[in-house]
Amino acid sequence: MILEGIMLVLNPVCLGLILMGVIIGIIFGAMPGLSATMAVVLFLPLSFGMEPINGISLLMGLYLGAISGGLITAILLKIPGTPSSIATVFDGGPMADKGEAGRALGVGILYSFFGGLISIFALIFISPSLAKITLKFTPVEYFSIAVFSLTIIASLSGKSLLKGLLSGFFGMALSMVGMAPLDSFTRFTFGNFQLLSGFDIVVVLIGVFAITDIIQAGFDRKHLADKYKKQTFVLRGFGISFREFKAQTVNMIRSALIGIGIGILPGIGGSTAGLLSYTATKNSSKHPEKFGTGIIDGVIASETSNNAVIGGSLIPLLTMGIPGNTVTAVFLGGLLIHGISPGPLIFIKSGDIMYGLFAALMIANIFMLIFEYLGLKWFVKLLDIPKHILLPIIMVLCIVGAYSTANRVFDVWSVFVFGLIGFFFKRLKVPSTPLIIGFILGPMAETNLRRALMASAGDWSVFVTRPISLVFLLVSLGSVIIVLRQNKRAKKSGARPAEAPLDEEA
Amino acid sequence: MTNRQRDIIAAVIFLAFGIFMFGNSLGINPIIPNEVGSGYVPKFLSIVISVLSVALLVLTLLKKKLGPTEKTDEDIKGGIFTVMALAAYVVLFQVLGFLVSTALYLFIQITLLSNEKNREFLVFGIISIVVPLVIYGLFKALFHMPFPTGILGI
Repeated sequence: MILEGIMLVLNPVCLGLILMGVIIGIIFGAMPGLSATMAVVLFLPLSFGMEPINGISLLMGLYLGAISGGLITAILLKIPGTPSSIATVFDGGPMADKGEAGRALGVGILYSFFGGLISIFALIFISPSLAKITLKFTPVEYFSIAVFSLTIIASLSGKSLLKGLLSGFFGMALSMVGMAPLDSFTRFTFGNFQLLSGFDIVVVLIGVFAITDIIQAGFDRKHLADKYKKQTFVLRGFGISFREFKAQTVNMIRSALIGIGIGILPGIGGSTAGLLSYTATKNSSKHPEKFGTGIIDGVIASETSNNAVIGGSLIPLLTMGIPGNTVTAVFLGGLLIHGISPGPLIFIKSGDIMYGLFAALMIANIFMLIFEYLGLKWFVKLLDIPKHILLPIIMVLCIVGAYSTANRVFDVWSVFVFGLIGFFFKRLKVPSTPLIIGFILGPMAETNLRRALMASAGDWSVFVTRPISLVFLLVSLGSVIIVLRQNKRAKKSGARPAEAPLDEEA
Repeated sequence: MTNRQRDIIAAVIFLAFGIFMFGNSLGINPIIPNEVGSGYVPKFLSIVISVLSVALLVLTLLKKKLGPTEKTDEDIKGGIFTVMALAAYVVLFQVLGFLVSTALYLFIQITLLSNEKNREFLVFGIISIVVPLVIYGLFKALFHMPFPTGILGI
């Protein structure tokens, strides 16, 4: 059956569809505002008319391409193409500033490939047993994971922990706008019906990253031309030596595991995976102060992890029919239309299609590697466009991206307001990355806290009596202590603690 | 602006936000029996934000060192005009429609960011017309995206 499945994919039509999916996916991923979900939704109807394996292969290519495409804009323009590549900006951006854009891209692409590869193996070999464990997760565990993820704020706050925390809590506060979870109480809408559904993460992201950037460029316009210098593009292999590769193995494996784990857990998503791995790598690094200055460790952590989410997120989908994110929710529809019902029996009932799907993912991963590597030269050319022309065009693309999240002009206005907020943050030297993290994790923390407390009849002790939850809370405490000690040590030695890179030039 | 002034302003703004949010969370009452309600987390957040900003304020005021005043050679005009161009763009996005507002914005913004040496109005003009048309074509064809058409009907 395994061979049968692989043979299903190895024909020109199917391979062509995978290639098309990967290329279109990469374009969607690289454009801020266009997401993996949109790519998959757009092509879903098209896949209905195809042979099951062809349709599914196309969707797999789109998903994989879109997740990895985000790194291109994250590194070259410091605007993450998808929320998944937020953490790639932290070190990829500074690397590009140092003239190492090609190397950052090369490394990012290579480790995207490895992240995908490891997670596909995980999907093939350990999916059923892993899925069983995560089924035991209740809101209690989810809340503790959210708390753990929020501790990232501490290590990304830079010089002022207080300001970082304020920014993070402000982000959580922004995520409260609209209809509340559980009881749908309308909060902080001030009578404006447009606010009922709250703000989309894409809108906040574009505002804080992209709009702030162009306002800043306006203030810096005298130096815009000096900053612009022709990029000399030298890249041997993927820009990483065998020695460096060996040194990064632990980082790669840890980040891949985090990605797979986050992927399996429903409702967390690639953005958190990248941030978590970045923090984990930074905290366990021998030179945490170098993070944010443009080292490959950060790019590797983020890119390995966000691609590992792909395989991870397919595990609960295929083995239990539980979609963990919006993309897999759309997949579920696609699978059902083709008469494949995910669940424990899927390997017995449609085994050939399953192995075909694995093969398609594997091939898509290889196509992604080849296509992005060959495209590298052209991607870097993007930086050769003079800044005074490039920035306004990006701005327009961002506005279109924001508009396309719900086809409403309100989001365009919101993007502008978030841009102003980001700009004032920069002026006041308040780091803005924690705002994004708080915004992403706020709803997850709130929903699960309230569910957990409802189930325990208001008893808070559930968070420490359930072992998995306790572990996450202890690890959170540990990671905060590590950061505080690092900061103290850095202060003593007179050096500044590593600062969130996005805010370094404030 | 010195770092001290910056921190004081940040603390005061966050404190005001915290108080404002707390005031607005007071009216949110639990609906589901035995549930903490939708006001619980916002109240908690607003209190934490207020406490943290007071802490920031006190710590900043206690600091003896004033820190150096940073000199900047920022182009205030360039910054303010950029903000105004953006504001005009997002407001006119609906009124004039996507194509016209985008073309106008692109031309103005590119001109704003350029300098005497690299100012080529003809090139800017061509870019400002071609880029919106290409985006419009792509998104219309792919997504059937309903761009705002504006009063001119395009």
